[in-house]
Amino acid sequence: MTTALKLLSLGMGMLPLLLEGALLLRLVEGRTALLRRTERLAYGFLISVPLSGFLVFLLGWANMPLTLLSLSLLHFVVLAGLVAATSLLVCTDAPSSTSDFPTQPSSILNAQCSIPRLPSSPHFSRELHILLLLLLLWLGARIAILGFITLSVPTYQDDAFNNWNYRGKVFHALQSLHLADPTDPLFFGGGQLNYPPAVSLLRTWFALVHGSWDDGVVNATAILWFLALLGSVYHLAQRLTESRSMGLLAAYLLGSMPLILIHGTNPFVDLLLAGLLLLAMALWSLHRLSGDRRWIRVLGLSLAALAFTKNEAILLYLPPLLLFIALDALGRRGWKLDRSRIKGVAWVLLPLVAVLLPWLGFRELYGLGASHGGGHLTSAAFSLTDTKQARIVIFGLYYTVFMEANWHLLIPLFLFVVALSWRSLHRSPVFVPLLSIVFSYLLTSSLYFVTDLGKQVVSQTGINRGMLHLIPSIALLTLTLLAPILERAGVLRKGSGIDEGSPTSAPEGSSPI
Amino acid sequence: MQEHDRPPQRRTPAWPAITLACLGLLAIVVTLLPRHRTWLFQRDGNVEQWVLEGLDLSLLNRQGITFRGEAGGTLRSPPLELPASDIRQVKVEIGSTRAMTGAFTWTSTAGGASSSREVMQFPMKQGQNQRFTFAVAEMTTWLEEIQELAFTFPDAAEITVYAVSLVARSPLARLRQLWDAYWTLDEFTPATINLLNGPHLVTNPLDLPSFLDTTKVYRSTSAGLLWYIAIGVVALIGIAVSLTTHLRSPLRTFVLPILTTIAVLWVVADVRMGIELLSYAKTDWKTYVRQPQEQRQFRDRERLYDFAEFAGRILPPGITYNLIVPRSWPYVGIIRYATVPSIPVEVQQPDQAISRYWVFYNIDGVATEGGSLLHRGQVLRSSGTLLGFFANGSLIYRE
Repeated sequence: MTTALKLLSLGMGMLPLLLEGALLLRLVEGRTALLRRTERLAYGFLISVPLSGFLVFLLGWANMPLTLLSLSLLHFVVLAGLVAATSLLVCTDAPSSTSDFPTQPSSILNAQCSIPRLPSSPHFSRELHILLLLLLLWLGARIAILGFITLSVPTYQDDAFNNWNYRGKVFHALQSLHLADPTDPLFFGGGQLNYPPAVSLLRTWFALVHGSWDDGVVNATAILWFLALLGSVYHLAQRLTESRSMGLLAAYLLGSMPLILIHGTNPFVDLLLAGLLLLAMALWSLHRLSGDRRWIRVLGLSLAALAFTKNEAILLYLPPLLLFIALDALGRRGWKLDRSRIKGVAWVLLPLVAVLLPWLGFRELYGLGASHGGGHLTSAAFSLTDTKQARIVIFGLYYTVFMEANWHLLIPLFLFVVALSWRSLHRSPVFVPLLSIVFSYLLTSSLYFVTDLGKQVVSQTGINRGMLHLIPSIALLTLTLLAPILERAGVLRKGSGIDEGSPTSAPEGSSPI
Repeated sequence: MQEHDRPPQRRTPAWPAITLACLGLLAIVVTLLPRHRTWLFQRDGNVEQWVLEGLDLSLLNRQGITFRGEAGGTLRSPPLELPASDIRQVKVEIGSTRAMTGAFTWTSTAGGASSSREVMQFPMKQGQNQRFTFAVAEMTTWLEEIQELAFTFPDAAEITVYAVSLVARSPLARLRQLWDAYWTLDEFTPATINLLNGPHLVTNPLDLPSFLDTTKVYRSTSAGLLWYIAIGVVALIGIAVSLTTHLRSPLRTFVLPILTTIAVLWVVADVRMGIELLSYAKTDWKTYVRQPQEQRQFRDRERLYDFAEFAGRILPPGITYNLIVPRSWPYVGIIRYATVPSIPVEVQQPDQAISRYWVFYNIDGVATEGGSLLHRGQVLRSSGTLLGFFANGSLIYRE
């Protein structure tokens, strides 16, 4: 009974976030749908967690109380606004040549606007598909069992009871962001004050829905975005490889990695950051692949959401990603600044700036600092002969990447596939994500060599979590590069196989999502 | 279609596979080097649960473990579950500042009950590092399961132990131990959120790293090494096939076999680690979820969470309270979290108290009597109220 109540609370708490994310994406897609419904739910949930947290943060800063009534009203108003906005947009585009849909103008919420159909895809053999489905069932069983335990036990990890959950519990107890007195130990929830409070506020919301603070309920929120991540990687892999089989394989590979599964069923935030980073990288790749500018709009939202998860996003991942996107765009079309380019830049940067400006301004206003300490240069930074730290770090990096059970064989597979695809990499739509990943990894690793963060290599506190942020993107990259190899080898077979449905299938229901 | 009409075939490069083959060869060579269990105190720099009886630890560093005994003493191993049939020899590298004759003993389950057997006295010379080898497999009393090893020193001296080795009896014994080691599952610890060691390859269960200390993981061999051996072997076979048959396509000879090998290894690893993760769930289910509240224990934190929840119910909200715990981590964080929005201040001495409210957890000797707060019979506070008693040493008091 208790478990059933907790699951009900999770469902009720998740519902507005799910709908808000999906509607927001539908709105930015414009008149013609770009995403399938399940894509909107998956991507939308990942995006809505930080963005709804950001909205609550802004209103909390303006002294809105954090109660069930106020937050429910807020979600109601947001949802109503999104439904109204999407209802007002009308689709007038002619349907695709493969569609029998009528051409009269219609609300974009109406399913009679073209539903994007993913191409009939290369696929695995029947036997491989059965094996893959069995493996996915094995994964599903583990998620269910570990998820049940998460619902039933208290908070175990330091970062959760000292920061993520702690702040959420303070907000819940005090029913506010508690900003009156910066010297108060509970100011802004206590914990790591310079970290975005999005996840903490999310946990406050779920506790309010449940009626009381319950560790099982608030910790299980991690499972929700883990499932959204698996759904996202499935769809993204399917789009990039044009193969549903590869989508299923991507979901299995990602979910089966032990440290990913541990994070997916425990209350840390690293996997949410990883999911948003995956989304951002993949969206640029999809834009490169199709030239469809609507991907840029969704990219802008994902970048804004990414900035409000953890500090590492702002310091380590956003700058290289934006740099390589800019270089890629400039490299393809030069410095020409036309109307469409200005719009594209605006779509990418405006949501990001809209989040960063208030957040960084808030941190500056209250003197909260940019990081939680550490990162001071050691003697190794100033000496060419003092190699002790370097030796430890090199061994640690090798061991944690290749010898531990965290990622199974993903990294060797990734390196192998990159080596096989070496000649054509620069033409691949995933080239920018690849550069961004490599740059971010080298940037993070360099810190271990020359700063006191090097001790994290020995204690293995931060080193694997930094890698975890990149793992979903690496997995997607690997499969995208692997797909043509498997096609040449005959493992992925062209033909009707198992596809998304024929072009003349009846339109789906009229639900906007 | 004519030959010249066919689109040019994409060439799959062979050098990645050749590189993997070379790495695999290297991994095979490294793995097949003779291995036996060694506690290298010099390298590890820790006692790894060895117990000093009557001996005081005076130095612990890369040179070994050095201890002094005013009237001699005994160095005991951690608890062992070691099949005697698997071990051929025990070796020790040791030095002493004084000449004396030491004794090597062990405890086994032979005869249905634990009993000690003295094997050999070893004569130590003054000021010299010496290596002693005990051929235990030849001893009639080295039987069944070995539970403990011990080295006894009868006289006062400063003694340094550099290494203790257990040499495996046979390749079959090593293989059996490898299999047991592969299926030795880790536990869910605070480090689990940061890393998963995975299975390790050791020819002796004693070689398994202490999983709570992540720095020691680096010292033993991860089973991941097997992956690279397998991939390397497959790549080698691919090269051989390519050189000796008409099959020249790297895609068919190297790439596809390597990818297939990776896929198979991935599933094997997934089963292994999946079972380990489910074992975490099983442990939590057995020790916490299905237990009644007064008996449940959560992982390595025993009843801390129930006490924290108890304190959260008893204390008025929004106060500051004195918190006395055996050590800061993890007690302060967990109790603080449970008592939100109250704030604890960790107190070491009674005069550091900042509040009327006192919260004690696992403090030996703390009790109340007639309104007084006592610690080992000494009155800390003379008048007050016991707000809640959780267990001996764990209570909440208000002045």
